[in-house]
Amino acid sequence: MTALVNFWAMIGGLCLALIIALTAVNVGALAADMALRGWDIRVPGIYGYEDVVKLLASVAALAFFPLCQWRGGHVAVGLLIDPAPRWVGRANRVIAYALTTGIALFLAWWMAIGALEVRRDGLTTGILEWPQWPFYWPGVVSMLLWALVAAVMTLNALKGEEAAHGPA
Amino acid sequence: MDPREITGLAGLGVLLLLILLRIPVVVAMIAVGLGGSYALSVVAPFLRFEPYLRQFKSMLWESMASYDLTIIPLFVLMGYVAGFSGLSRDLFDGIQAMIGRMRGGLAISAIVACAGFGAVCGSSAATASAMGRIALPELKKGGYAPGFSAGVLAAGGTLGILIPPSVALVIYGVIVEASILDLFRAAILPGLIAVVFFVAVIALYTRLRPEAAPVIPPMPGPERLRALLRFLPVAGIFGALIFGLAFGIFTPTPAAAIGALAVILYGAARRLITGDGLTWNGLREAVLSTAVTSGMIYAILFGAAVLTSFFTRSGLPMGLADWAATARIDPYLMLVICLGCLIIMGCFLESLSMILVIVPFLWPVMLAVNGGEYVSADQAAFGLGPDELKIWFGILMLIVIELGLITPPVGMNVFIIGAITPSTPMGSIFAGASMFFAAEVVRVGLLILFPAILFVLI
Repeated sequence: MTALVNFWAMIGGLCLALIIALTAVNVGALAADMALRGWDIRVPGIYGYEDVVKLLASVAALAFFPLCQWRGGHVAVGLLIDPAPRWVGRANRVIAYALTTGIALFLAWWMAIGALEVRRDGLTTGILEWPQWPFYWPGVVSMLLWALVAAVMTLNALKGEEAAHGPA
Repeated sequence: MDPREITGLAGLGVLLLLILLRIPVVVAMIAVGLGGSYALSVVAPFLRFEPYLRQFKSMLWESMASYDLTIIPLFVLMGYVAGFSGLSRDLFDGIQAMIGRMRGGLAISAIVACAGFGAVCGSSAATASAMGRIALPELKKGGYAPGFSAGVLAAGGTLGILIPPSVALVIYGVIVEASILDLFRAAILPGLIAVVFFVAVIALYTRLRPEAAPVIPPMPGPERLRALLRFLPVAGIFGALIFGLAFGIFTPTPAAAIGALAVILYGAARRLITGDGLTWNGLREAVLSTAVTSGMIYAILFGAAVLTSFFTRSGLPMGLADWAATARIDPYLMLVICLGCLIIMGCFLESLSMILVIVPFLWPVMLAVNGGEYVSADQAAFGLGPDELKIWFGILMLIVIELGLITPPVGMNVFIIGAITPSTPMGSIFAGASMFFAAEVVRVGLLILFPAILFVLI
């Protein structure tokens, strides 16, 4: 499970790397444009740069959810539960992870319907006019993976195993 | 109160209960948003549940596909890479080489380094953790009192939440639809004022209790030169970021991307030159840690969108705003009550969740108290137009939320520092940080009395 969620998060990391590279090129082009304007030389920025960043960001952001779940990264306040007996903490974990599984499946379901509708309606990005629907599917996979991770953690909590998993 | 507002209020109560019962905040937000909207459809049948559900087809994707929000993972990545590449060490050593030998100089170096590192990583917890690991052993070696040292680092970590680029400011800006660039510019001077106040507190304390911070021998010449040389590129990255944002040379997203690239290149160059910079494993772990932190922030932002949709349908925020507009309470008293509530809540709740849960309620109240959405600055209760009010209230709010990081019983920064130095009792860390609490109260007072400080750089 650790390898799977790490791999999927690294796909998100790759999207971030692409955003950084695109931005560096775009900023470089804008800087060159400003510097060379005096000589009547124009250097254009990347056409549709913001569109590409948005699409990559959508893939990256959702790809981070499963790893965040696996490493116990989602914010939780243990003020009342931490001092309670161990069985209370365990029951609390089971409920929290089961609820997370349900919500992740709910989001995956509606997002899949959304992907089909967006494809049917032919929705595209504003400038490049690239279709949006292919970028929904990595999100659906992320939500399913999030649900899988939370389900595994629910089972582990039922067996009384460790709640979250630190860096591999 | 009508049944819709009662449902909204009940939803808020259930949300706080779930959060206190350690249900992950994002799960609590989505569950209450869904459950509350269903309950609304029962008490007010014209608020049908089906249309509410259908928005989930595109809501999640559209929340994530945001150009402005891209700065969150980029700044988070920059912060983690900075930690893994030794930038924080170079920062502290460089400042120590310059001012470390004066009384309290090590503690002042730690505060300035916290401010600098906060400028790179935008997170209080990361700042406290990274600088705590580096500065605490040095402070201990210098013979500084343990409680004082730990308090300095816990308080210094809070500088990260406000000094741009700040993740918390981005989130606030998204909620109230304020210009993130203007928020960043407005936060620079309050951030610097905090540094000055914290340095003044250290100077005063070490003058009154010299045994808490002995004068240390100066750094040997070659070591000092090396520290200063290593500090130069770090100062270059910080300077470029802060001045670039302050003077509008670049907008936040390019600043975040170029900053992240600069820190990665810095770490790689450090590795090539000195052999102890950024490794492949370090970069991989930085990316994975970025995934965890950014995943948490993105998830909670989506959760807040679901929740806010429910609260808006319940009419509760507008009901509160209407009440505030007609309650004839002095606007400044209302502001102080709001900030006081935030300080108290900050003692129990995590700061990001608090911003996301509370701002949708407090912002309409502040707007109504100021005179409404279309009031001009000269007729407004606070003498600020709605756009200026967003910035002013946001900065004040973040400062008081910061206070929760060093206030019992949760005091996250204190626990982070406590984990680094387990031999120092928590009580003495809280006591060490309490001096800075007083400085922060003075800063809040200053910004309430002179809001113009925020708008100097805009």
